[in-house]
Amino acid sequence: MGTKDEGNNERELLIHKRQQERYLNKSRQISAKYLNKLDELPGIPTNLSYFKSILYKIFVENEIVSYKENEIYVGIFCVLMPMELIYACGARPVKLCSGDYVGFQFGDDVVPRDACPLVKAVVGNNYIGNNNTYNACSMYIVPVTCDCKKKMAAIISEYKETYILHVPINKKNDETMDLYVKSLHEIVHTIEQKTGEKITYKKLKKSVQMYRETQREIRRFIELKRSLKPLIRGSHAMAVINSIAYDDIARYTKQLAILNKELETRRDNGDYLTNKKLPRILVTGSPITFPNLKIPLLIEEMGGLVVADETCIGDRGFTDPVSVAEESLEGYFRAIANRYVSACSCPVFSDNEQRIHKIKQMIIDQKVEGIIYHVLRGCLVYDYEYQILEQVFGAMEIPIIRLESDYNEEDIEQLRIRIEAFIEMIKFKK
Amino acid sequence: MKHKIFHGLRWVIMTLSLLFLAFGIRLTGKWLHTTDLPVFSCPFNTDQVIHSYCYYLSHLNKLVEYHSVKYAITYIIIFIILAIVFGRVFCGFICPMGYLQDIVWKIRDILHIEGFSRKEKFVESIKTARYLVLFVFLSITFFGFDFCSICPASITTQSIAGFKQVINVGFIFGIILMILGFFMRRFWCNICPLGYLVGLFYKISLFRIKKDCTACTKCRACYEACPMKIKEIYTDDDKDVTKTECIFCGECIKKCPEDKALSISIGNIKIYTSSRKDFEEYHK
Ligand code: SF4
Ligand code: SF4
Ligand code: SF4
Repeated sequence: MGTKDEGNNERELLIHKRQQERYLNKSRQISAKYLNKLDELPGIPTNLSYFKSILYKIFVENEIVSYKENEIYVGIFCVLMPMELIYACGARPVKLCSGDYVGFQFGDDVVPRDACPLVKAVVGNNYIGNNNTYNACSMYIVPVTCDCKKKMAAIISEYKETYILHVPINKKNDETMDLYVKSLHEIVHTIEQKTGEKITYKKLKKSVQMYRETQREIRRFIELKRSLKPLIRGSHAMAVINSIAYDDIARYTKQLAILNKELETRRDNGDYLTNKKLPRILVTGSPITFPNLKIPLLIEEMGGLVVADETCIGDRGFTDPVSVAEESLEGYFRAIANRYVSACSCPVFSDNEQRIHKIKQMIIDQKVEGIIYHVLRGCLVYDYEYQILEQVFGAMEIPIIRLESDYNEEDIEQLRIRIEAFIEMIKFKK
Repeated sequence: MKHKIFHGLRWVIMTLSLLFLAFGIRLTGKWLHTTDLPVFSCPFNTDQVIHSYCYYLSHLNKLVEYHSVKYAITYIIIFIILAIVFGRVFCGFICPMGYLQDIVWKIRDILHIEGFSRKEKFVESIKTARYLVLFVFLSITFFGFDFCSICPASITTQSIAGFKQVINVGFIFGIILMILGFFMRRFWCNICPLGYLVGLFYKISLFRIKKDCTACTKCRACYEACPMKIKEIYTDDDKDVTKTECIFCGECIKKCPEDKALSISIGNIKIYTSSRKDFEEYHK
């Protein structure tokens, strides 16, 4: 019996090793392909290379972007875990929400068929065990937003220390907000134990300030992106915003300032991408994470321009700054909670009419001509809100379509046809 | 830039108002004591010939006793007109009691001491207290008592002017309120009967808080900052979010990060509007 078991074990190990190799090869291939696609899309700014190099390092070289030795990384999911708190404890947050097609394939065998691809990819990455971004993290923090994330937390806790963060269901209720703050305290406590550093008023203030800096640059960036004569393409912009997940925030901010400068110079010189009027598209819906950039890329390959991005891994996570009303440690905690939960337009909350207001404002500010509503297969919360949006924006005569997609390339042709038709329609309407 | 003008002006006016109410008499000589001051003229009234709104509101019977019915009616009409025009702008800009509470709160800010933040619960629990105090304020005189001796605002102008050294109930009450105000901004103002009466006509008063619900991201920053704990300011989806409690302190606008989401206006003219530029400048 014993020898048979051992033999089995050895065989399993061998299989796993082969899976790991297959994983790395394929995932490198796909990431490199999408980085290339970004290059092929005309009008890529010179200073985008920094952000591409971050993505290259993470996804192709399979290495964490590190500047200090013995840095402690905290793997987080969602935009609902305040990153300021992690910095203030002396660790660095790494956002792990994955767009990885290969991880998705492995995860597909572990979680139910109808689970969303993002969760499949995360689980797959953990199962396969040789994604070094995941491996570098000392712990995971999972805000329990939707059911998939909840069960994902349970599964990935088998691979690494995982903590869940309770997220209010109703944002307007003061008591649930208090509970969220309490939950943040608990999380901070666990991070403190990892780093051996205590959070203080001063440290937290500093890290909030640091993120304000980033937000200021991102706002500048978004304003440049909305220029009536285009300066940057939305797919490129998404890559820029995506790479924030893996970089040190202070460095990132500096690099973004350089990119902004480049775009501003181009604007001042009248050096636009094109003088043609491209259909201006807003992308909203389920998360779009590198390398799963197929939708924005298709839109822009078909002659559209993604001028606005309301997805959570995109602009949503960085448009709102922390507004502090009470200068004390607790005051900062509450201010952070407000910014991360109250201002968030994620559909996991029961009351979310603000998302419509927000999109309306984006339509005004960014002069949007059409909305593409992205739904990852199995992502129910976003699918629920499509109907409301369709009603509201239908009444406003803003064209809107729902695109369902998965983490693979099988649906690309079908998506292409629909996106092309949509963009032609907008052009025709003009 | 605008936030500096608005809030700078507010602090200057509040300081001048306190100085005026406390020392006005010293600067200008005795003639002032025959003039009617709208409120808090206690330091001017060593000889107890009092002509001020808060005095008569808490001594309604004296209004007829000292003067005539006609006088009483004129008095009330003028009060209503003032309340309609200015409303609780008085609280945000003139009242020395509000000013002192703002100061203790600032001190807490500088010391980074944690305040008390359970706003909703607090508002719930003081609801009855508010009406009770109002009742006492308006009717105590009919039971033969003098509200001035328990008035917590006696700690403001009187003691600062050095007029009254007696430590009476009002004085101690005032000290306790200042301590509470240290932990919860403008604690007393949430109960204050004078403020309540001044705010009664908010529906038609000239000063308004306006909101652009499309620009608002419902981030709660305004509610968090509001010393009067007005939750509707962030939950409401109306164009006009003026509430009876609002003292026009502008804190909500200062803390609102969204362009044009909130504004204070006089009639239809916006005088102070939230903007991201201001917000960023303020947080630099
Ligand atoms: S509420 Fe009362 S104490 Fe507060 S500022 Fe107004 S009048 Fe003064
Ligand atoms: S609503 Fe605004 S202006 Fe009115 S009291 Fe509250 S913070 Fe001050
Ligand atoms: S602070 Fe401004 S954006 Fe935030 S909820 Fe209040 S009005 Fe809305």
